[in-house]
Amino acid sequence: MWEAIVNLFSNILLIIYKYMGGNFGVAIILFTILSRLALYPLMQQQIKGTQAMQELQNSKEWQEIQKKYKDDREKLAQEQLRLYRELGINPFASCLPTLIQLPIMFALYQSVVRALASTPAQLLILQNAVYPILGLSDIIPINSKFLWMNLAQPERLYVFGVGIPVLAILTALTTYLQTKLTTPPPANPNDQSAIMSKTMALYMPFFMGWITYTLASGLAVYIIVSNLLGIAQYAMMGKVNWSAILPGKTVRRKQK
Amino acid sequence: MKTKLFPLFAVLLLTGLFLSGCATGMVPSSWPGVMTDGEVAYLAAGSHIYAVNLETHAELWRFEIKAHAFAAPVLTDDGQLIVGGYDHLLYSLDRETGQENWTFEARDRWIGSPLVKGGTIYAPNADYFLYALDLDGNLKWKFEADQSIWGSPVADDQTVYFGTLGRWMFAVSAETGQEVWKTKLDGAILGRPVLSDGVLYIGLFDGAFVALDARTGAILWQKPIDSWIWSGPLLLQDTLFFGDGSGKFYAYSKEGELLWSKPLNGAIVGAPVAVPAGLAIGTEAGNLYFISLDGEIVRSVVVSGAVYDSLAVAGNLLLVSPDKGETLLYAFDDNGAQVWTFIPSKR
Repeated sequence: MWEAIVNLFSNILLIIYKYMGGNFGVAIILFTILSRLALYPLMQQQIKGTQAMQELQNSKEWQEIQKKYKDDREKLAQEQLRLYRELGINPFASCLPTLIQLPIMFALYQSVVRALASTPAQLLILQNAVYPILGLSDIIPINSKFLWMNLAQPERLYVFGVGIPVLAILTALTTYLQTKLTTPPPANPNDQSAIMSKTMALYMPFFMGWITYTLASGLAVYIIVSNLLGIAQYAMMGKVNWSAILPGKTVRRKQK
Repeated sequence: MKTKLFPLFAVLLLTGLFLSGCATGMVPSSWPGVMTDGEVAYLAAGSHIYAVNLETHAELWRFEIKAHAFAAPVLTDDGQLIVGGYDHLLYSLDRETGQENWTFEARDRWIGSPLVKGGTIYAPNADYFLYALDLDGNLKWKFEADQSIWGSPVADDQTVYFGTLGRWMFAVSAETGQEVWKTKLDGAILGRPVLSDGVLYIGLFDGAFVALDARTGAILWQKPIDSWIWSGPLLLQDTLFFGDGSGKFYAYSKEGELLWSKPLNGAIVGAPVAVPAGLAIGTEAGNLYFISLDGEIVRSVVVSGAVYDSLAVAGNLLLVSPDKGETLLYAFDDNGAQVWTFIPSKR
């Protein structure tokens, strides 16, 4: 099953590559847009779920429950779950936009390496994986160069002999921005979901940056484009929390 | 808080493990390459180079490199064993001891075996360059081609010939590295051409077999083949032998006439070798065939894994290094009987 998904992704990438000018970087960007479009309904649902969560946290009922069970954490958690169920809220909604991409990321990484076939053994695997209609011999060799990068290798931009991991930095930055901008400010900073969101906002950028620092740069292109598209989708719905990246404003909200 | 954050950390951990696993699993793997001087077999398998005594079938030495080695090593007249690695290093080892003499670093993987001729090592690299080194590992010249060079070069006294993944066949001066001619073909070139009587013969990945004038690069004839051709042909008694991706094995005259073809079990990646019975060829399905020169399958045996470009002949022994299994080397006699195997000890 997993192999079939990786093969499917590899073939989609190669079809885009074949018909879009033989540029693998462009193929990855277009693939990312396609995958975001495919996930669009699910993402919309998650955005609504996040909005519902925020409304719940600001509701009178929830604040009363918090006051009532402030000394009974177990009961408080039970009541919180009851409210989630009643209102159809997913408590992990704020994490999902990022987490949902993980399986795609896994498969895409393998697909990029497979499709670029930079060794004879990989070419043989690709030969067996590619759909006959694609005509692999027509597109071999696959151009792995995009801008200054070799998409099959970890990326470094050399300035005066020093290798700067530009894509890893951009990945960390856009991951941070996406998490911050798309996570609504919590009514109660000590709430479980608020703690989780805060932790996610801290750790995920480093984690994604580390992944793209060590693995093929084609993956970094996917993550950066995906993050930017994610922010754009939230912005189009008017759900971007711009105040989250302006420290002054955040402090004022907390002081209210 | 720690308990509540457990799912998050679990996801991060799993992601890390999965991608690390991917990275490990996707580390460019290779299949073994083997060559022999008649007394010792030199085997590039995984991240080791082994020297195996053919009489005692004991390991003489092993040399570990940081990444995989793919192509069969080559020997120089002064006792060096030259082998390229996926770590971008070309190694010179002492053939007797396995001690490293020198290394030469390129920008990408060494995939095709080098050619040693007239005191020069002609080494193709995936970084688009053909490097010419002296026997001390000093660069004499380098020639930039249009694309990665996976196939080994061939040479006469004046000129070195090689093909690229970019479908170009190049001829460059052996002395200076200056381009003599180049010819665009219809498919990627992955194998080593054969040079005979001023004609180059090579198979293409798009499924064609081509003959070119070695002096001018002009295409003399081109024959369509059922599937992709990976390796260069074997020229034996004025007949060219090669296999294709559909598992068909062909015999062509030097004038481009199909003499016979034979369907075998599994894709044919490697080149055949000459044995007393005629020819031997391996397939991806793990079959090893002994075929007479007129196309009769004399016998076939099955080994533990796919047989790619990993056959060598030492006297009456056929050496085979399959892609999988703990047995790194099989030795078969003229009758196809297994004489011995080599399984490296665990260290």
